[in-house]
Amino acid sequence: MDSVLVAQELRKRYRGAQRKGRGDALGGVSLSIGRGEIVGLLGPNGAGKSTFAKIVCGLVRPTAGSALLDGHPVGSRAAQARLGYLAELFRYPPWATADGLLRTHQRLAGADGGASERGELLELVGLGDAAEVKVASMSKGMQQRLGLAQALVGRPPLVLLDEPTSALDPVGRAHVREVLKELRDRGQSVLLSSHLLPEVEQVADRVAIIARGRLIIEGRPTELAGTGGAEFDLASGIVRRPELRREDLPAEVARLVAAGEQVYGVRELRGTLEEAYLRAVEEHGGDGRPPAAPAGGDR
Amino acid sequence: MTVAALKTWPRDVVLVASMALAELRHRRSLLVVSVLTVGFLVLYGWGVFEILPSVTDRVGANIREEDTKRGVGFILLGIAVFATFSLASVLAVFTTMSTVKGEAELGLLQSMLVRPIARSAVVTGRVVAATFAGFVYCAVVISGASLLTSAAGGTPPGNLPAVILALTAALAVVAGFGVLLSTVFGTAATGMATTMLISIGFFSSLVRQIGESTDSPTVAARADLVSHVLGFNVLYEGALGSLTAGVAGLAGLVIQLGPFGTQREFGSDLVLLTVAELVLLVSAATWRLRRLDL
Repeated sequence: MDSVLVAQELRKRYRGAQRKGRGDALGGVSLSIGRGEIVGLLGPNGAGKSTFAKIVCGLVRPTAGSALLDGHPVGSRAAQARLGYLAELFRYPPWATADGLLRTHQRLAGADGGASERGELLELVGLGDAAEVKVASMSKGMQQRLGLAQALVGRPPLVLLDEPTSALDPVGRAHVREVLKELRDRGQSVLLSSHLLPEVEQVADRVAIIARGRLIIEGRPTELAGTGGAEFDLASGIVRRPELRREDLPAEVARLVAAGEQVYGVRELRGTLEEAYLRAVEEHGGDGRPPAAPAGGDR
Repeated sequence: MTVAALKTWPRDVVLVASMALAELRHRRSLLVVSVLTVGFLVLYGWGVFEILPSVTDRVGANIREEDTKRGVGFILLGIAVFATFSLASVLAVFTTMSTVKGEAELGLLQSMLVRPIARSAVVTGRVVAATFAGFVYCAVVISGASLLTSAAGGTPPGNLPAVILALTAALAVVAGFGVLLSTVFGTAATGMATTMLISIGFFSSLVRQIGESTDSPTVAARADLVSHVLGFNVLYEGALGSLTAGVAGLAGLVIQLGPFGTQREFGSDLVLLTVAELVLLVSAATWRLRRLDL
């Protein structure tokens, strides 16, 4: 697959980290993102996800390593012209209207989409009727939708979204998932950093888990989640066999019947991304606790 | 910087400056300064109409009435220049004090810097915004004070455009310091530090005056050095000098003895100093901004 982002051995040690007894924020992370691919970036708090995203955005300078965005070094003008970014802690001028903010970002990005692009983006994020609403009058959820719209100004090949649904209600989250899928269909790539594992599992083509500044595992969500075994509904009750895989089931049913068991049903169990995440993080010395779901709501 | 970046740099500077001016308007800093300014001009008008018509009655008969009125008029205009610079400095400080660390702490700066825009344009744009606001402000207030003084019987400034330009240049340098300090400190600390620098500037003028009047060349030279390093202060003195440009005799002398700092000629040397200081301050701020992890 053609890669829009290629990061190799990215390292970051913040100034004063050694004095404070901290190690590298990033300890050599290599990750690539294909064109039109949605990659979920997961990890405990302080794992290095934001540092990675900020290096790609040119907001943080790597101590070592390199990253190319569409062939241009990250932080360069050419690379900046090819990305959109929604920060976790986003904030926009309270006096700006939704349309005015997008107009400003069109000018900053050198995008020539004009009013039609602004209208399309606001429609896309569900703010079609809020073009003249000021940021100060918007709920946190509306502001987050607006932030998503500004990240999409100029149709950048790579969109970095840091917790883009943290302030949204379930309907809003579902809407954002649809937006992300639409971006994929358009050929835009997304790096999605989130603590909401079920969200990532539903939308990401690939997941990368970072712990203590290192990429500890990556793969498709279904591969990482793996199998969770099988559950047999027998006359004697429900029996769970976590070691079995899908291909083992016919033989196991035959064995049970041959042994005189009455089998009323068989259910293949799937593992979850959350289980895979907890396992991976614990194995690599992380705190292993799933982060609490963020509060907040969409108006 | 690439050729493409150089081509878009002026556009980026104007864009950043327009955003900063919009912020100034919406944050109501402009409203606060406007209210204070109207208050100042009302008091100033009341003062000049009270003082100037009664000047001849209070001064001994051995000084010509015309010279006395001119001298007192220039002292009053000196007060106007001082007040204008002080109030316009508030604008310059408010426009620049949150440029880097303050806006980064709020998360506002990052959304701008991820765009293809040069960091030097971000820094320069803020200075340009503060300078533009300062120019408009100085033009309005100094012209207003000048009109009031003339209407009350005083003499208008010797070189009004030079007074306005010198003050604008001084404000540009104040803005340069504000932007540079904002790469080191948060918003409040930058505001305080810049205001303190302005105070140090005024103090250095007074010290120079004291040094000269007490025949202490070392004190005067060192105070003069501080004024030059701060830049805005010699420009403020240049604005005072332009008040009495071409005015000889008592009126020209009186303003030099006033309590608002010494004056000096506003010429090409001060223009060069302004350009050099601005280049230095903006370059240092850009260098700092490039090194910051946001």
